[in-house]
Amino acid sequence: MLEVNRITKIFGKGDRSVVANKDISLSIPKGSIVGFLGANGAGKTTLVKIICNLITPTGGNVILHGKDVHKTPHIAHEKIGVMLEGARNLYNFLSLDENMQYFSLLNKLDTDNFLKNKKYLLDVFDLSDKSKTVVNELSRGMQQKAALIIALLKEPDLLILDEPTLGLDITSQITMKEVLKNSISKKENTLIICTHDLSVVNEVCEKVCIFNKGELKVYDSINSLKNESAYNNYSVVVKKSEKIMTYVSSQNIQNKEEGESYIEMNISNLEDLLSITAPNEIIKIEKNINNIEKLLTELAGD
Amino acid sequence: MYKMVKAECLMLYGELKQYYMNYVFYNIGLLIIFMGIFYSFSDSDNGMALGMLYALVMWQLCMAALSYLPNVIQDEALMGTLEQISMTRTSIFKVLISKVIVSAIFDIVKASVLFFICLFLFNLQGLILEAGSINFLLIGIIIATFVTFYAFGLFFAGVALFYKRIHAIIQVISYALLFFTNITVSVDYLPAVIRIISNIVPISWAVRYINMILEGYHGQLNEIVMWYLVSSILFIMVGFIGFRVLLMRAKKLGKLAHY
Repeated sequence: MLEVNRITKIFGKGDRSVVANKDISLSIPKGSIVGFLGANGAGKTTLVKIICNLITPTGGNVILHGKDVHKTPHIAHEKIGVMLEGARNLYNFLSLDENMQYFSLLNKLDTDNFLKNKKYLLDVFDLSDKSKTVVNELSRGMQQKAALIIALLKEPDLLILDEPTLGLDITSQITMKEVLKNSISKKENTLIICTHDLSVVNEVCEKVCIFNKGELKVYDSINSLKNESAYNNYSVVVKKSEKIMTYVSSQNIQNKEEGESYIEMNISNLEDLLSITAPNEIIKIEKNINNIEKLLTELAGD
Repeated sequence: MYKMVKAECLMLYGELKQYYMNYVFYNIGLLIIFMGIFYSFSDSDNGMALGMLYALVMWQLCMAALSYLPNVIQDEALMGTLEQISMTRTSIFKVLISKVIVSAIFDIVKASVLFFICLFLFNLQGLILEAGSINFLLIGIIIATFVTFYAFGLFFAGVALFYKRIHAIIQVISYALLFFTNITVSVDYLPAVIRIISNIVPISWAVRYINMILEGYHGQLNEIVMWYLVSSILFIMVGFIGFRVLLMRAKKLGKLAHY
């Protein structure tokens, strides 16, 4: 559905030029939820703006529904909804309700559907009593939620959110994650989330793109990354034996004695251990999969 | 288009609620400027006084038109909403046109109020009644020039994508247009360089046109109309082409937002 083909973006010329995106290619199928991760200046937002046709790339193209968004810009306006830097998406001198009405008219939304969705989203995000309040008088988190509501009201085929959890309290973050998962799964839309919040990537996204210095370093599913051997280890409790103790000391594995007869350790190479241990000597093997955040952080260079 | 105009009415209403005092004081300021200029420059013995009032109203409308789109682009780029409206299902040109329609109607209402206040203040009721149906022709010229300046404002709207303080440039242009386009003093008395520049500006020809109609002198009318149309078309083209080129450049440089 979305094809990013060899996108390069260079700002400036000569010695002062900055490569924001370098030969990025990726394909995002319909209905996917993809997280864009990377340190500040890694090129995530530039790529998002290129996808939205807000920035013209130096090289490459973006194909959405089979059409080049830069040659047929209406395809981007029609099919993409974007929330860029949350609180900056709204007219701060208008009320929340006026903002929603204004963008609904510009997005040519069906009135009945708009009113139904508006009520639902205001209730879900606990903003019903704030709809007449001028945006300027809303808190940062409320402005963020308001911007998200407006982005969701458009019901685009491809929704792009830049830092959606920024400024949200814990309850609102949980609500937001639920709403995003539900709205995407119901409508089979595609969602791209640019974030530094690893819990969003872990809990909401199916795939992740990791950017570093303008380059796409990793584009893989979360599950596949979780199976990366270098980032998987196992918590093992085994009976003490001479073989085991020799193995532990030769591999320099940290271990802890469990009583007189057992030892506990964390290992990454399970096959080696199984080859020297009889099944009845193994008390526990537990896979540790909770270090995805460490993996993502290291890959993103954050 | 109806829905977009409705959207912009909503926007104007919201803006008025928040900033109505700004509008009130801005118009009081204009009334003071009109009074000062009228008493300083007009020759109230003849119909030229009415011509000057029409010219002043035209200048005020053209300045509002010229500054409107640059201010919109500048404010929206600073707020970040320019990117948002660029991403709606309505093209940016259509959004700007609907903004212009609503703003133009609002400006015309404000200018009409100012015109009638000045009419009675300067005791010109007799002259306007005497002019009769000619007034409609004069209003037509003013509105045509007004629309031309909205289009020309597109060029500065494009410049506003790159320079955050476009308002300062517009201010300079507005003073130049007030004093160098036949409104206060005849261009014929100005230095050659200013005279040449002035003759490119549609307001200069519009003022000549208005004065000739009021004087009942039709000798050079065809020539004036021709130059008025040529300069207006030139300004409209500069506006549209300039905005398009600058918008493309802004997209290349990622300048649709200034936040």
